[in-house]
Amino acid sequence: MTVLEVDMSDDYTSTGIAGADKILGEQGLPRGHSILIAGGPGSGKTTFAIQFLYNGATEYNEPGIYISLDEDPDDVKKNMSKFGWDLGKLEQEKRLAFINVSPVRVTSSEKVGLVQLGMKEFKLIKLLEAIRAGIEEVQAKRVVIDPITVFTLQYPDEVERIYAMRDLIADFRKTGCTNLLISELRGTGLEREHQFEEYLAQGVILLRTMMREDKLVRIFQVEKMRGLEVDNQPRPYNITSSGIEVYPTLTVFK
Amino acid sequence: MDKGGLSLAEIQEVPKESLILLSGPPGAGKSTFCHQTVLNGLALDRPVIFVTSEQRPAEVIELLRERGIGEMVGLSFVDAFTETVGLTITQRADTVYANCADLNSLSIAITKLRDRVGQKDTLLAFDSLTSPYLFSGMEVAKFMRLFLSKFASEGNSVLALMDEGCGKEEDLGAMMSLADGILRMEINETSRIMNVVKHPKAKPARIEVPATKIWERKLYDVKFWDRQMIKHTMEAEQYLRQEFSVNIFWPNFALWSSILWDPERFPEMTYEVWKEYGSLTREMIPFFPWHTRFLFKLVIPKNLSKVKDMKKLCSRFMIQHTKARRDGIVEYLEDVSKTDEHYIRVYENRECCGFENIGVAMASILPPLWAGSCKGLESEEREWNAIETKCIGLGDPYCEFKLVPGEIGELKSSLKKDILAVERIHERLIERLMGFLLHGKPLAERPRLGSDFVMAHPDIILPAVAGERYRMALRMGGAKAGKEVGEHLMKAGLTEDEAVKRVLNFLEHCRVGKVSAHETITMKDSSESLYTKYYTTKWEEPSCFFTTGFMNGLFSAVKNKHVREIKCIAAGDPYCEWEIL
Repeated sequence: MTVLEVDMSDDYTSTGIAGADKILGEQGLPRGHSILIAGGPGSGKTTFAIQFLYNGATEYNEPGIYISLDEDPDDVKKNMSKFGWDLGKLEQEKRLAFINVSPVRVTSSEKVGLVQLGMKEFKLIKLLEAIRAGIEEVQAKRVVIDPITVFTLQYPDEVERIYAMRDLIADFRKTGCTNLLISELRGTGLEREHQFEEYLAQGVILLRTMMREDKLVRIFQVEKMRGLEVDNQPRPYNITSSGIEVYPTLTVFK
Repeated sequence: MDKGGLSLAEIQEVPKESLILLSGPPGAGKSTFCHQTVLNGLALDRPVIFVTSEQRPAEVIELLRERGIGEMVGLSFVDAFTETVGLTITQRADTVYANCADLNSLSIAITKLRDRVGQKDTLLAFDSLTSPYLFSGMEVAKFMRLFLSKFASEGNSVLALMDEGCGKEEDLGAMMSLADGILRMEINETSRIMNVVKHPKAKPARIEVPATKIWERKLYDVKFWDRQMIKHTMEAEQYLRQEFSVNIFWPNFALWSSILWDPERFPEMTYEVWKEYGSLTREMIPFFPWHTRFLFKLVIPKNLSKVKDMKKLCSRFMIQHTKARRDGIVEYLEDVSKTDEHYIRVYENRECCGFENIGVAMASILPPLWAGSCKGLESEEREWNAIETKCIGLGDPYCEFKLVPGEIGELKSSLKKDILAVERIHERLIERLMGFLLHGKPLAERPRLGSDFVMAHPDIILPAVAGERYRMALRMGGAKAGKEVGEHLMKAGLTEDEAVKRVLNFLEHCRVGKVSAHETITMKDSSESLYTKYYTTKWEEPSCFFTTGFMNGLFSAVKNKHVREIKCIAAGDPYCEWEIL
């Protein structure tokens, strides 16, 4: 079964972010599928993803893993504590796992299960093995890869890149986990070119930012979500002291 | 003045599901109108969201307090000032911050508050759209259409202010075309003019408001009481000979409910109003018939310092008067009184009966009334003051008060009522009322004087001349008390109709007025407005402040509805009438 043929189950899992769920037709994300979260720097991609994992672990009995390809997970945990999320505790309780596969920073001695990580060049197979091991460790139902951009950069050839991505998504499908692939958004304005990841993922959520006078305007938009009647309109969102808040009934003003 | 059958008070109520745009040059009184609308909304028990972009919420609160708001229940703010001008933000539970430069932040902040309120029928006051317009230009029109109009259409009301002359004329025109109602204010040297250009509930009209508006008047303005008014007073006295009386419970209930709303200022205002009222005698004397004036000259001493002169005044004038009205049974205490320090004892003072041992002196009216009377009757113009020294409320078998020319040291502090005591008093009143409503127990009973007294004075006290803050306390105190009563009746398991019926019977029993209820509620001889009519000449607004507030609170608790006074004796109608909304 290829990615494009996967059967769309009518099973959805809540993001736990009320406004976002409302935009997602009061359903949430399609369970077991890959969703691309694309946004510019500082748009709250990681916050959104961690909020998704945190809510899953604390409210929906869905443990999760966070796979870091760039930032040190300890930094992420520290940054996220400002929202009142005690990620370290969830990690201890085996409801969350943080896996660092950052190709630059990790020394080759670090292991997850039997897989050795952190080679300067790591390929799809290594990543998948790390993910599987992590999923097994906490019985994960949710996975975040942050950012997927680092992975795709390993494949300079575009055709190869698309295939690698397709294989990754297909493999995820087998795990039954709902996963968020975090991607840098090239061009943050309303007009932009589509990226190939967007065609491959089952759902795409854009977190965009725009300057209004000297104030930042944040725009949440579900570009697609297969199988769901969603609200495709851009909606304002904010990063508040309790995480991301999306306002599903409001229009974005320029 | 062409009113077109419309009063300012009517358009101050923003109709449901409408967006009203109020425009005018700076200084025309838009903000004042807006504040008034907010107070009206709160008095009607509506949640209010106030977006302030020109000043801090604290400043708005200060202005609203000046106009008589007590508690801030139901009022929350979007502060679009502090962040916009770059001041430090302090977190407050009733405030959400936004930035005028970003319309999204405004819509988000308002939505957040609306969700927090969790109730429809919210009044959104936006003072003003000028700043957002200056930042975002005609994106504001989009904001009006896609947010404000939408917000209104969800069962709310919006009043948005916009300065004229700070942008392009066609922009203002475009904004007006988006509103359901347009009010334009103008100002000239002598007056402010409100043009009702378009309104969902009213015909186009032009309302002229004198530059010194009623709500800007001081606490009490003697000039307002012109000669015509004094003639009316004479007629009122005649009218009262027909044994017009009410149950002593009702004015006490009104008084203490209002004090509970505004404990800071209400007792002081009451004192001053009654003192002024008492002193009016001086201005009235020339209007009395010659034989009365002659009698006055004969009976009333020129100077009231001496014990024998005060005794003379009391025995020939005040004692009878008080007893005739069944206010209480008065005795002048010759033995303990001395020059310039008089003691008056009152048995069965109607203000204090029923509050035995409540822990605080109760009399709010008789002492200032006597002080004012002394001031008015003495030939020499001196300030007199009175303070209650013994009281049924303090556990004494009777009440006593000290009457002196000049200041009494402890008077000011005695006017600051202890909020806990006020709550106890209010509780006892509610208890009494529930006893009456549920079990038919008597409301009030005095051994010798019974339960009624003659309302020879406007007993729910001269609200028309007493100032906006006073009226607001009556209205809001009434609403709060009515709501409490309604809630108690619902808890007791009464049906909605039965609850309303019993309360209306209670009003009739107290002789608040002659009540009949059909689709609307009408009241003949409404005691509250009757006096406003007699004591004022230019009053045109509905004036049953406490009664309306009380019924409003009751209907909101029992039927989730509101009442609005549409006819009022004070405004010249033959009876008072409330519609149920």
